Amino acid sequence: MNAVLDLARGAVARRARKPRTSPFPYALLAPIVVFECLFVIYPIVRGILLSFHETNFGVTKFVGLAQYRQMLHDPIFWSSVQTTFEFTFAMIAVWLSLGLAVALLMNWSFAGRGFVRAILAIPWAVPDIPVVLTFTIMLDPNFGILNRFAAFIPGVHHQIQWLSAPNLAFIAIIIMVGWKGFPFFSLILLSSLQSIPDELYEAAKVDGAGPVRRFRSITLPALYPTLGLLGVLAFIFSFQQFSLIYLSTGGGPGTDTSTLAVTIYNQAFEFFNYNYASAVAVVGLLLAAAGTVLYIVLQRRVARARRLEGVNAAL
Amino acid sequence: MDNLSKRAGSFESPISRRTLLQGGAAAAAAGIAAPLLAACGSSSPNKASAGKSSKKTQLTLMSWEMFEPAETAAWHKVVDEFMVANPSIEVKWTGWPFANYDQNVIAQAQAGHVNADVVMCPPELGSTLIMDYNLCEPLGQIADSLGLTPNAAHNQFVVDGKLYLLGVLEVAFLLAYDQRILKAGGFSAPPTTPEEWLTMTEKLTHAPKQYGTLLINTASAAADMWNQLQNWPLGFGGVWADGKNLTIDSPANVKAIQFWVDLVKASGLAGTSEAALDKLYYGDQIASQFTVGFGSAALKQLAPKLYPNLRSAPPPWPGKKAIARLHGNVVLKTSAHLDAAYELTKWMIEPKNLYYVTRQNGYPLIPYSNFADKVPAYTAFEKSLPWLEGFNETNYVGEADILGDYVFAYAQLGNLIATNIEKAVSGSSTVLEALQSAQSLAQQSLHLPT
Amino acid sequence: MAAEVTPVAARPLVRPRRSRRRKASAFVRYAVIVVVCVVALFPVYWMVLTTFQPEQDSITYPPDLLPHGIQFSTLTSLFDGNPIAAWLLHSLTVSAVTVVVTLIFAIPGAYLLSRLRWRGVGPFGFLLLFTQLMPGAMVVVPELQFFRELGWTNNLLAIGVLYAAFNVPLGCWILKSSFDTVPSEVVDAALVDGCGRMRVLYRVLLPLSKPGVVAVAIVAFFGSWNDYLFAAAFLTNQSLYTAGLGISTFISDQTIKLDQLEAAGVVFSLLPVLLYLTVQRHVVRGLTAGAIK
Repeated sequence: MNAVLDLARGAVARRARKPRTSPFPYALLAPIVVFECLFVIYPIVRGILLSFHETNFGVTKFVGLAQYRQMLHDPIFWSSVQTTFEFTFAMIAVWLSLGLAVALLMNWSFAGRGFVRAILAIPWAVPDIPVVLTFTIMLDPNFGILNRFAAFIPGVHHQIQWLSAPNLAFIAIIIMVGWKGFPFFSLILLSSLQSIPDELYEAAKVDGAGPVRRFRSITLPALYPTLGLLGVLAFIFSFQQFSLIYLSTGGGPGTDTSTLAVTIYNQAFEFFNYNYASAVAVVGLLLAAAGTVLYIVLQRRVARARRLEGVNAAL
Repeated sequence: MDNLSKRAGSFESPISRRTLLQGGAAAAAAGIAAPLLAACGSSSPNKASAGKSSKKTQLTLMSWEMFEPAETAAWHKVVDEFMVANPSIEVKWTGWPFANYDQNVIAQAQAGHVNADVVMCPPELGSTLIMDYNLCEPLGQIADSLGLTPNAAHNQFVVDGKLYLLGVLEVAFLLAYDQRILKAGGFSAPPTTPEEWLTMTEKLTHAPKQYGTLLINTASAAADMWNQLQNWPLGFGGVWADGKNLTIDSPANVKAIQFWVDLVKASGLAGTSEAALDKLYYGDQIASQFTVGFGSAALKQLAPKLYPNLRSAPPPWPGKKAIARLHGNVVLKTSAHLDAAYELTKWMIEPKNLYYVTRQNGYPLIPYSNFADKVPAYTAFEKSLPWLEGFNETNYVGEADILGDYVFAYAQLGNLIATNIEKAVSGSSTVLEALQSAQSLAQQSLHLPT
Repeated sequence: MAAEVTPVAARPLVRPRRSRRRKASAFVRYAVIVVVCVVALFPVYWMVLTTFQPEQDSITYPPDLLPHGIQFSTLTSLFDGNPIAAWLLHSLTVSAVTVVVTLIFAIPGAYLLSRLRWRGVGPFGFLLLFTQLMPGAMVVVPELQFFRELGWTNNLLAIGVLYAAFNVPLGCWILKSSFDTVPSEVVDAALVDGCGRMRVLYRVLLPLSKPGVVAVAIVAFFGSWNDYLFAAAFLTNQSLYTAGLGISTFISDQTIKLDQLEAAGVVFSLLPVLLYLTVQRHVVRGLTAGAIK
């Protein structure tokens, strides 16, 4: 009996301590949710429904999980999953490090800084088709500039097939996609770098800390939240990346550069298996959601651990 | 023809209009409103076109030709003359460039309806619209009314004995060669055997100015690579599939593809992109190409140096067989003006009009067997193009002859094979391994429509 | 109290000691900058080269690093044969709509994620995330279906709204980061002073988060400028073509107009880059913080 009373007392106390929920956040929230649900979620759900159907001779009928069963036996699907994860991890590493390096550079003060910042945004601004065409020709085994330089490396006997050899094609698309996307990451990191107060650096300089120490103790910790966000974004962008890969390697050789996005496009628009493509997309979506959630959970753990560290250090 | 009618005959259920199971609004929009929407040629029925349609019938013609710089004028002229002859009908063009044409038409079909009355289709798109989406009306009666006999390439588009596509443009493969380069290299005649072709390629390749053969070999152009590549087993007695049986890694095919790989390597152009290959070819720097004889009007414009030297010959292998691909018009069931659509379709294959387009654009083949009877000048025209000789000696077959039932998964099978053979070119696997890999992948992941 | 943040301009000038070392490090800095720019922009250099070179020189072996001279024939034929200005204008219209609509929804959205205390933050965040996970190839068709039902195809404003819908979650996250860096003391001070929560957003948070707002605008602009997938499906009327669609017309069945394509690539990236040049200094948090005092 006492235990129950205690519980009840505790519940009442808790309720009294909770802040009054005002309608204000929900008033702000409603238009956004309606907008997103209407223009994005609703069509996506319709797309998902397609994966449970099959279209033959103009008749679409419900087939339950048949498309998914087929997918489980499809070796191309499995290889796409593997390729996708390899690609996304590579892109996260490349984009974050490249973006950070360039952001640090753009944070220096020098004459013409504005101009340099702007021209380093050009890769982001150029449309995909010219980018692919340019890289394809630069990487051309027989006419490309890269092989002309490669000829000077001892041990290189024949024309390197940048886009047709399995591992090389993978590296080539990482370079191309990395090049196209890094300005976004450096923009965001630059604005974060700008908000670190100069006093911290001044104080560290007075204490005798060198540039590397300053970077590790001031810059990096201040950037962790931004890097965390950018990690998620890098994951999402690379998961979605399609046209740069498709137009340059076609997903080849074999299926070595076929990420899920490429496979889905092929199935939907080249092979006209739209319902099957939808099933693959649903699985892709689940994998991406799982990956993102995992990432966020890990990130929170790391942040919490570091906060505790900070607390312990202060004690 | 047999396997086609077999497949068509297996449909017990009545052919009904495509239904969407995604809610009433969608069904209304797609199934019921579609004819109304199609009538206006766009999806905004509230616009002024409602008033317009009482004056003129609006037809929409969907094609890629409006983006082909050298060919669009002739097509537009034919359609303009149609409008003059039928003052109550107005024809609007719509479409996309060829590279993305199929994808965008299918996107529309999948989103509920295709915004057109008459759709010009490459073969795979035609098959898909006819078979998978069941969007087309039978057209055999139009050819009959003109007294034209559709040639055998039309068989791919026959379901239950009814023809659903009328060809307007046939492209067929053969060996195109540059006689100037051959003569300069000491070759007075084009090769007639695989060995001769290989030798000639080796002898005529003097990188970086001149190359012996153009063969598309990169997966970024997998569809075009496959278009060329698919022909090779014909010279070695192989097929890619026999009925439902995949024979990708048969010994004949291994020999055929080994020859193909040897040619690519000998040409010194392994791994080079299609854009670069085209540039070299038009610049009169490549001695030979296994290609379709597309419009000479385009060639004259794009390749003024090459064109005067261009000649053709049948494929240099026993049997001289090659593939012919038919592009043509379908009429959509969802059209609100079927009669007008039939009139337009009839006009476009009417002998004088088809002959005009063929002559203007320099298309080498007309897909109606008795066309020469209808337009005697056609024979003289063919003789006047020096580079058309190869077509006369080549024995053309349809894709169904080398792909069996897999002709309905043409693009997917081709993509699988082409992207795996690329590995043999870059040296990361042997020809046998590449073909075996393609065979096993195809068996596990190819989706044949049921 | 808030940490004392002295604006850069107010710091006393320090007399440079050991100026030689300074000069050496400046030299190293400039060298690094030049190297990075050269490597990063080499593909762009090649594009510019192709634009100003005669056609026959674009594919040669060995490939030439230096131009032979400057010719404008590629550019003139590009502008002669194609409605470049119209394409650019349409892209500009669409991107402007995207930026405006994105900001309209991203500002309150970021506020919801960053400063307001309420129970739905998690689910809201997940909703935003969910919108980003489906590949474009799969979303095109249902979106086309939906927009057709609305009668919104061949409509530049409508496609701008669609791009905005995909950009809003991104904008929310970017702006949230910016809102997060505003010291909470400032916000609390305003609330104590009697500011309503909406006022706090517009009078306090936004002015202090200008870099974030500018960043969201830039991201939205760039994100919509070059799209092909949705534009091709939604804009079938050639008189409405945007830059991304215009470029695709250079690839026909017979050939790829390599030189014009590269030239178009250069021309079409000029506008976003110029825009970026104009606004990039707003990304810098310079002489801000009057509010803290």
